[in-house]
Amino acid sequence: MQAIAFRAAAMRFALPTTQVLQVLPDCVTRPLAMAPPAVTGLIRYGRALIPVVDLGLLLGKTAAAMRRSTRLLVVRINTPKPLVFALRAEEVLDLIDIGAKTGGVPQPRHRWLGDHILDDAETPQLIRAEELLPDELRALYVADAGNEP
Amino acid sequence: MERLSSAGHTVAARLSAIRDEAAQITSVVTTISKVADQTNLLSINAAIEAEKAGEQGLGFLVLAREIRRLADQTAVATLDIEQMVKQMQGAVSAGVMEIDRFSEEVKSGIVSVGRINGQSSQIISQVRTLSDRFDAVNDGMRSQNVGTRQIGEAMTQLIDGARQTSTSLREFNSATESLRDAVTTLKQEITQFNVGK
Repeated sequence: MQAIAFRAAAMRFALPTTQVLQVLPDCVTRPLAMAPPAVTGLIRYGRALIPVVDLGLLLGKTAAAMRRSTRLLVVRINTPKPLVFALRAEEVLDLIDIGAKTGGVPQPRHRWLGDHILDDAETPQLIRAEELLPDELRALYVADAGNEP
Repeated sequence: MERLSSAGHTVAARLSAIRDEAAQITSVVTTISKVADQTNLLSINAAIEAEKAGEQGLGFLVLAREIRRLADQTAVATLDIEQMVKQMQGAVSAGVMEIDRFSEEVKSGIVSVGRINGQSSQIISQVRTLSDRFDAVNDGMRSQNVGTRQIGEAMTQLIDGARQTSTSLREFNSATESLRDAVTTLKQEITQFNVGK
């Protein structure tokens, strides 16, 4: 099993490829009124508008820098209906094997922070995409889950 | 000096051409870099699809990884080229600035040489007019020389005259002394002829 490795707030993370629909180049987002701080706006994906979550902002740090390697990971989660959103992160350049893992330090307040991959030198932390959306956004989003592209 | 200035302009023009060429290389490098980036993105998406295909996608997964590696190597190489071109552009810009400065100095040199040339012509012309004056001064000095010689001769004659006058005065003095002695003797002789009252 593989994961897409990337960086946010100078830390290495990874997301299993099974949850990623597509990787897109970074682009200008359409601002979303009253959006939670980590949501930078909306982008068009197929025939739907999907929210873009900046992982750096979600970590309480700075937004991803505008670099060529900064990309958008289009993620699909099934909780309980399928939801699609984009995750903005830096250095989205490679896939890594998810081999041995360890739980690391439990962070119950941030359930989206998962296990660490031990096979990579930087021990990237796996992201639990289904826990990633801010609660207020998830509430709105689930209410209007007709965003399947 | 003018040839030097013209050579400076030629070098500046060539450096400018190199700068333009470097800009074109940068443009090509940017394109290559974008292609490498797109290839990397494509290979990631291909790997995602291969992963979804399960066992059947394994071969494709390896292929996608190799493509990604090639794209990364290309990206690194283009970064190196970009860096080299930037260094080249920096050197060329410095060269153009130096040549411009040199050109300005040559121009200012040409103006100075022109000015010095004009001043030299004036000096030569003024020196030429001095030549006539020097002749006049020479003539005057020659006349002065003749006059001085004449004054010298006159002075010699005057000295001779003075010498003769001195001799005459000495003789006159001696004669006066003899006369005074004669008068004294005469006075004594007259005293002998003195008859009492």
